[in-house]
Amino acid sequence: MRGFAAVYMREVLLRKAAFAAGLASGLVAVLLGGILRRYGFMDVANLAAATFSVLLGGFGALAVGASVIPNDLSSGKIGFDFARPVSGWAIWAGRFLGGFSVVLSMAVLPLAPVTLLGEGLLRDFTVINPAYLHGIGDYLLTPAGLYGSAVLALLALYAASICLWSILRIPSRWLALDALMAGVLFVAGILSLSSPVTLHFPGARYVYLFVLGIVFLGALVGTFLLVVRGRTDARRARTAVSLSLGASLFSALLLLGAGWAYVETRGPKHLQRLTMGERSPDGRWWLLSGSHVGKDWLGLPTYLLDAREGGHRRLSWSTTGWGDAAISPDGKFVAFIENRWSQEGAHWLLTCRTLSGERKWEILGPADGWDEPSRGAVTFSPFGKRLLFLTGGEGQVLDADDGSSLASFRVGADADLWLSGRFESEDRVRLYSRIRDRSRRRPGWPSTPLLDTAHVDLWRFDVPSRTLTRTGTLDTAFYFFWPVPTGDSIVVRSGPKDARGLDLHDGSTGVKKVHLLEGQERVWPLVLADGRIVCTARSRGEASDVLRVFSPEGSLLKSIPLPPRLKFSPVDELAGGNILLGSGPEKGRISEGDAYVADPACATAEPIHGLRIHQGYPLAEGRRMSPEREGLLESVLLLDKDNRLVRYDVRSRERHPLVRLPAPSKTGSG
Amino acid sequence: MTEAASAENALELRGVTVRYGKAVAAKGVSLSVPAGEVTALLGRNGAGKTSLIRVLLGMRKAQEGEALLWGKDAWKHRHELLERVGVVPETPDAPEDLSVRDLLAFCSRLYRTWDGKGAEDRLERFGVPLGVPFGSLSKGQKGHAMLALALAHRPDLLVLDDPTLGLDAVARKAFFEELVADLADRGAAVFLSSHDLSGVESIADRVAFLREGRLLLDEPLEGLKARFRRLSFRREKEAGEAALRPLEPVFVRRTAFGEESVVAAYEETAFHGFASSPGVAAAEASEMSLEEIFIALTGEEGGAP
Repeated sequence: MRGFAAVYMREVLLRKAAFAAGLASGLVAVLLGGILRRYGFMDVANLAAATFSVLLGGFGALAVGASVIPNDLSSGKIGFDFARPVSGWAIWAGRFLGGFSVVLSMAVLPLAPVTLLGEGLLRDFTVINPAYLHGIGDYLLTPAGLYGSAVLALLALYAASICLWSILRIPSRWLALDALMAGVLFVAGILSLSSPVTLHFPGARYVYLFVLGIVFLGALVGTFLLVVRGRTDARRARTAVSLSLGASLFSALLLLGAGWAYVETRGPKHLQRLTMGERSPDGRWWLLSGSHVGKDWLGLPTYLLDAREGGHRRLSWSTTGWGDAAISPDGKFVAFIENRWSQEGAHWLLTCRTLSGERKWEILGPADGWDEPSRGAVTFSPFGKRLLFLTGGEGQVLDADDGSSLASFRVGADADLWLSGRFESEDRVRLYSRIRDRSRRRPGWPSTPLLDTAHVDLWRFDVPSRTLTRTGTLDTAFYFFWPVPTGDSIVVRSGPKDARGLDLHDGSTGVKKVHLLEGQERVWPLVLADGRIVCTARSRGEASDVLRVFSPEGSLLKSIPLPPRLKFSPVDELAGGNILLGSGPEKGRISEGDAYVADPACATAEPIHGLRIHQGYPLAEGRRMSPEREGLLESVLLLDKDNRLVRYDVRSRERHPLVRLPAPSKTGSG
Repeated sequence: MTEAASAENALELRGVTVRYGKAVAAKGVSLSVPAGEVTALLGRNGAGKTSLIRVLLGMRKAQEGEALLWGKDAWKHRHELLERVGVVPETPDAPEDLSVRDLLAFCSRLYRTWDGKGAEDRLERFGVPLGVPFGSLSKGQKGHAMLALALAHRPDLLVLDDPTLGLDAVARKAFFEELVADLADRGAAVFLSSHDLSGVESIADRVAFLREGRLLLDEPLEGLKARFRRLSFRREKEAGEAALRPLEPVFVRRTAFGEESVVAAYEETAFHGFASSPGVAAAEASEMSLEEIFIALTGEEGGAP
C-alpha cells in the first residue's frame, strides 16, 4: 500500500501543472461570464460561462489523457519502479489511477471556479432536483450525468488503451488520437440527431447514419488489412490494428451518441404518462408533460411538440402538468416555470422563450424554501400582454414583454394552501385558493391541497389598483371545479363516488345557483369556449353513459346516449361544435377504448377506430379561460395501438403519425 | 550448496538460462557474490549481462535455473528483497519531469530506512542541483543522481548495470571514488556490470566473464591477475612447446619482434623452465591489466582459459 500511494502521488505530482491549468481555464470561463454581464448580455452570460467551462473541461480531459498515455507507457519508464521495492500491482494500479485522477481532475477542475465563484452559474448543468429522478437512466440523461458518463467512458477508453498497449504493444498515440476524434464525433452525433437539429433539418439523421456506415466500413477495412497484410509487415499491421480499433471505437461512441439522441427524439419513458397541455392558436405547437397517475405523483419534463412535423423539444426537466407552462395567445412565446436548486436552497425559475427556443427573459426566484414546484402556475392574459405567475400562496402579474413585475399579491403562505387562477380580462384576475384539511387524507394517497381540499376561497385581484378582494367561498367537499369563461360561474363536481353531482355556482360568491345532476355513478364535465357545459354521466342502474349539453345558465340542451358497456369522458372541443370523447371498458381506463367524436347537433357519437385518447385529462381551474384565444381544434392528438402519437384531422379524418411513445405503464389508473 | 551457504552469499545465480524467443541471452550461468565483496560481471555487448541483472532483480523470470538474493528467490520475493538492494540501471530511467528533490521524496517513501541528508550531501558534492527536473540534468549528473538514489537507503547489495556508460573520464573517476568511499564505510556487496574496466579494476574483488551468454570464469580479481601473464619471446619453430603447455596459453601469435602469448596459469618455475628451453630466447613475462585479460579472453583470439 505504501508503494501504491507513492507511485500514485508521483503520477499526480508529475502533472501538477495540469491542475493549475484546469483551475485557470475555469477562471477564464468566469471571466467570460463577467464580461458578458458587464456588456449587458445578461441572458447568455450564465449559459456561456457554464458551457465554456464544460467545453474546457472536456477538452482538457481529452488532451491530458492523450498526453498521459503515450508519454507514460511508450517511454519504457516502468523499470524505474520495478527496480524498487514496489509490488507489480502497486506500480500498475498507482500509474493507472494516478493518470486517471489527472484526467478526471482536468474534466472537473475547469468547472470549479464557475460553480464556486459564479454564484451557481452551472445550475443548468448540475442542479437537478433528485425528487424528479426515478432511476439510473434519468440521472444519466441529466447534463451532469451525460458529462460524467462521457468522462468515465474516456477513462475506460484509456484503460483499454493501456491494456492493449501492454498486451499487443499497439502504439498508444494512435489510440489517444482515436479517443480525441471519437469524442468529437460523439458530440457531433448528439448534435446531428438532437431534436432542434432534426426539427429543422430532418435529413440530418440520414447524413449521420451515412457517416456511421462509413466509419464502420473503415473498421472492417482495418481488420482486413490486419489479417491480409499484418503477417508480412509488422508496422503496417500495427497501423491497421490501430485504425481498426479506432474505427470500432468511433462506431461505438457514435452509437452511444445516437442512442442518447434517439431517446431525446423519441421522448423519455415518462411521456407514457402524458398530459396534453396548452396549444398554440394555430394548433401546431402543443405542450406535453408527464402527469399524475393514480397514486404516483410525478414531476416530469415539459415538452413542446410540433404537431405538424412531429419533432419535439424539452423545455424543462421539472413540471407536474398542472399549469406550469403556457403558450401566449399570439402563439409566439411559451412561458414555463421549473424548480432550481442552489446551495442556498430551492428557487423557482420563470422563463419566457420564443417557440423556436430563443430566450426572451427569465426570472430566478429567491431561495425561500419553495420546495413544491407543483404549486406554481403561469397563465397569459387574453391578449398576451401580461402573465399571471403563482407560487404557493403568492402571485405576481408580470409584463409579458420583459418580465417586469406590474403587481403582486399574497393570499397566504400556508403550506395547506394551493392557489390557482386566470385572467378575466387584461386588468382583472380571478383566483381560487384551495385550503387543505389534512384529516381528509385517504390511506395510501399523498396529502396535497388538491386532493384534500376542505374549501375553496374565491378572490379577485384588480391589477391597476392592486387590490385583492376575497369574494366568496365554496365549502363543499369535492376535488374539481371548472370556471365558465363567458360568465361569472363555476361548474363544480361534488358528492362521493357513485353519488356524484354537478352544480353551477356563482363565480364570485361561491353560492350554488343551479343544480345540474345528482346521484350519478360518475360525472365528467367539460366547459366549452362559448360557456356551454358538456358532461358524460351515468345514472345508477343504467348500462350506458349519457352525454349531456347544458347552456351557460344551466338549462339542459341535449342528451345523447352513448354506446353501452363503455365509460366515457369528454376531452376537448372540436371544430364544428363537435366534442372529442375518450372511452374505456367498465373496469378499465378511460384511455383504453377508441376515441369518439360526438356531434351535439345531430345527437350522434362516432368512434375513431384504432385511436384513443392519452392518459391525461383536460385540466380544470381556468387553464382554458378565454374565447379570444381559444381556437377550436381542427385536429387532435391521439394515440394508436402502437402507442404512437397521431394527429387526427377532424374534418378530413386523415391520420398523421408523429411520435412513438414507450408502452404505457401497467401501474396507475387512467 | 546448502541453504546456509546460500544465505551467506548476497547474490547467487544457479544455472540461469534466459531466452528471448529463439535467441539465448544466457545459458546455464551459475555464480555467487559473497556478502561484502565487489563482483564485476564483464562481457562484450550482447553477452547477456543486463538479462542476468534483470533476472536477479526479479524483473524477469528465468526460463531455467533460479536467482537468489540472501537465499530467497528473487522472482517470488522481489518486493521484500529489493528493500535491501540499490540499483543503478544502464540508462538513467527516472521520470524526467520530476525534480531531483521530488525523486528523493518519492524514493524515500518506498524504503523503511532512508538517509535523505546523506543523499543530498552526496548530490551536493557531485554538483547536482536538487530543483532541476531530472530530464534536464547532464549525463554525468544523472549518473550521480541515480547513484545517490541507490545508496540513500544504505543497501546491503548494490547492483550497477554499466553505470558509467557515456560518462567522461572525470565523471567515471568520481563515480567509482564515491562508490569506494561508501563501500569502505559499510562493506556492502556490489554486483557490477561495466565496460569501464580500469574503474572496475580499482574496486572489484571478484570478476566474472560472460561470452555469448556463457560464463567463462568467476574468480577473485587478484587470483585472476596473478595467473594471467603476457609472454614475449623468440624461438626456433615450435621450440619449448612442451614447456609452454603447463602455463595454459590462451593464444600464441607472431609479432614483429618474435612471438607473443597470453597464459592463464602463470607460475614462476614453469616460466623459467620455458625460458631456458633450447631454441627459446629473450623470454619475458609481463603483468596484465584486467582490460588486457578481458580482451584476451573475449576478443577474437580468446577462448576458455
